[in-house]
Amino acid sequence: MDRIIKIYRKVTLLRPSGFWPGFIIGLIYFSWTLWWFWSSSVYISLLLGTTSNVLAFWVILPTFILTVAGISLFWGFFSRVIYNFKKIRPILLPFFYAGTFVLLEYLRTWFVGILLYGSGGTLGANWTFGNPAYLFVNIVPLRESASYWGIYGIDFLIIFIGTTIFLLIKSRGKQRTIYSIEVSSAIFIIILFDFLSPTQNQNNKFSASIVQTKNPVNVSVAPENFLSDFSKKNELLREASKKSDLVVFPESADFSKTLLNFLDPASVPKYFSNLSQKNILVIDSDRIQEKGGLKSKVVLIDSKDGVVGSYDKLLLTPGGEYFPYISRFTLRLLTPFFKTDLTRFKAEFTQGTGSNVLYYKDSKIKLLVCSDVISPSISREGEFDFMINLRNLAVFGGSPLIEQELLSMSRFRAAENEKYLITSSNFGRSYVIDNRGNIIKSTDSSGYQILTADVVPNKERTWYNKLGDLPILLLSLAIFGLSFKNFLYAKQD
Amino acid sequence: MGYLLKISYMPNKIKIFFGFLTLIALFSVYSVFNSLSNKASSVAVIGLQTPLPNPDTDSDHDGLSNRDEAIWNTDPFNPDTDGDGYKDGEEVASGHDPLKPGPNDLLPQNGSNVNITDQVSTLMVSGFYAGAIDNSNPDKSNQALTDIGDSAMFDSAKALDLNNIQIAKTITSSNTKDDQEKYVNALGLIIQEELWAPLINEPQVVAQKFTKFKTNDKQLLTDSQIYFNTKAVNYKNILNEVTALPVPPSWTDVHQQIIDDLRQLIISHQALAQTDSDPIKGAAALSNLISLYQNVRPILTTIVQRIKENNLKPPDGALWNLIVSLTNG
Repeated sequence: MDRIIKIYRKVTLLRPSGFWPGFIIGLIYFSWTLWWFWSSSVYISLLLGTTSNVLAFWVILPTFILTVAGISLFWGFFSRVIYNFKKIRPILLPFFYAGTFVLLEYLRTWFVGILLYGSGGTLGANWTFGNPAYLFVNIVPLRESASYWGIYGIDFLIIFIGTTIFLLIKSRGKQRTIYSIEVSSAIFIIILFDFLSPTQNQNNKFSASIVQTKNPVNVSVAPENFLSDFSKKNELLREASKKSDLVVFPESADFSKTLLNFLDPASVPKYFSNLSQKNILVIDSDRIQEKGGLKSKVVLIDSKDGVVGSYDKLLLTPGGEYFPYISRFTLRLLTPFFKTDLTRFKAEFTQGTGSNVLYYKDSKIKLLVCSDVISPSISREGEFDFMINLRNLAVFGGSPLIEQELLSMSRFRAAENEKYLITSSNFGRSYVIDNRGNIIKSTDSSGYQILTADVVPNKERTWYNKLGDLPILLLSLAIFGLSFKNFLYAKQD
Repeated sequence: MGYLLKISYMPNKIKIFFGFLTLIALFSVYSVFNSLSNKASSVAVIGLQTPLPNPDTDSDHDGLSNRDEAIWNTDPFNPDTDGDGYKDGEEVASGHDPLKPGPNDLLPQNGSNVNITDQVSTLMVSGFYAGAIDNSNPDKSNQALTDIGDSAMFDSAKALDLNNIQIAKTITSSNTKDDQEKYVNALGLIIQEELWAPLINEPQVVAQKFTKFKTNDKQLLTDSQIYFNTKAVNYKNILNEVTALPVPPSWTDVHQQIIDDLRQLIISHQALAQTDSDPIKGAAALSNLISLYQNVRPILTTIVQRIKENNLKPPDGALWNLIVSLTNG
């Protein structure tokens, strides 16, 4: 223990002082959080039109190191702030630390968007990977508090409680009383959130089915696999249509597109109409080449009325759906060694520009395609009754690490907006999550199967749904400003 | 230098940085090897001392894959099957018959041999010298250019006319249930194995191979020429199989449509193989193929509907089971 403390002290004293402990913790934590980058090696090879794993390794390595090191800088800054701003009034210290952490976390999220920017990239606070709030997904009152202040509010609370307890242990006398009151108040707030749990009218519930698939990603498809995959989807759709009002396919299921490989266009409406006596809504996802480029398109098909709406994916996955500029630069450098023009990419997607809330009869449906769910802002925009996330983890070979992280994010998105969330997956498990972020049903394996559950739409809007991250960011900024002013006064004295 | 390399003299920051890099490198190497070992599958060779050659490799390095050699009927272990001094791949790429020795072994071209691109160039130059294409008279120039365009379109349509391919007279059988089922079964098997399956990936591959004509890489260009010429021969073989089937009178319309589609596939692939020397004809052939890919699929529904109407047993195979299921109420 003494040795660890000694090493910690040594590291803390390295210049810039206080920076290195946070940076090193960040390096370890984000290396683990982003380890799924490596799971995409097979897909990256396919995208580049090669079978070279060595090439994929060299493409991923610089992106991985830059991303991990880049985002760890923010934790380094945070630990530097803790180390250097000790002269602030004790009562303000926990607030100052919590507010600073929230601001840095928000900036870190923005930074990822800038670092991984490319032709299909989106700027904004979208890439919330590694946000500490996700680690607390199983603490119900904390998770439910997200409906007021989102994940950054939870970050605030975590850092506030953590630093207050630390200061409480270190302090004596009056200061100890102040910190005791602060930590008790924070815990009281958490308990209060437990009493404010949302309740919901179960009268207007409906049955929804997920068609889960396990179709690997391929550039060229073996005919027998193509047939087998489509036949299974067809059987599952027919079965699901008998028991549900809504059937959801995973991302890139390409069901309606593939149907045209077997039926003439005039027979397609008849096929959907024969699925059920009543109107059912089939939500499919197709990769479609359009004038503006290749799109990941979600299509809403009413079994009797045909296509009633569509949505093009907004937040494209770097490396999976487009190549970030830093990866392009790496490819340019690698081109001479691999004797092939690596900058001629295959299948880069173009992002959508339309709204992701679609109307169907009396319902407003929020559609999120795979990585859209990572972004709290894309997930909350607009008024909607329930959410659907279509995802495809084949690119990552069904990596359990990314699946677990996406599940935590999905549970938070449901809790932030207090809406049911249906997640249908290709490779990986599918879920139905309730408006409190609880998993009410999930598939037990990752093969082809149906998951059916009742979904309760909710028209009420939460504070977070209306205001987003703005209140907690303003609060953090105000605290930061006040504390900084206090620090300057203390320094003058 | 030695001083710098001594770990004990390194600043702590550098030590931490290198430590992190080493950690990442170790994890990365482990991850790559792990994924490689997961991908490697053992190949079971049952009862064979020497495994069959991989259809996608080129055993005799003549430019033709073993699969292509089977289509051309050439020897996969002899780079020059006809012994005329030219490799099989070179002959196929340049439009010569790899089974026929000698310089006069050009493969029969079913379309017209007119080079449309050359013709358009000649017309443009003539128009320019004759004063028909003149910037000072835009109306006259536009008319001349429209005429040249029309002529190119007309020549392309003529070159890609499917009637350029002569076919044997249709053998007619009877309309009895037995004859109809025999025909449907044989046709169903050809469609599933030889037409439908390759057509799944063909549009992407064709587009990809076509773009290779724009590169300066001779090898890529030759690969594309081999691909299109081989495809043309493959479709010709399928056409021969289809035309040899005895056709019940109630199926002549379906039969004719399949024959027409095959003729279109042959002629378009032949024209695409010549894209390097005649880009206009190649582009027209590509456009033809794209429309054909759209039109070829409805025939599957037509066949299944006809089977149901005539109360016949559908052909065997997963494809037909699926289409029957899709068209059932």
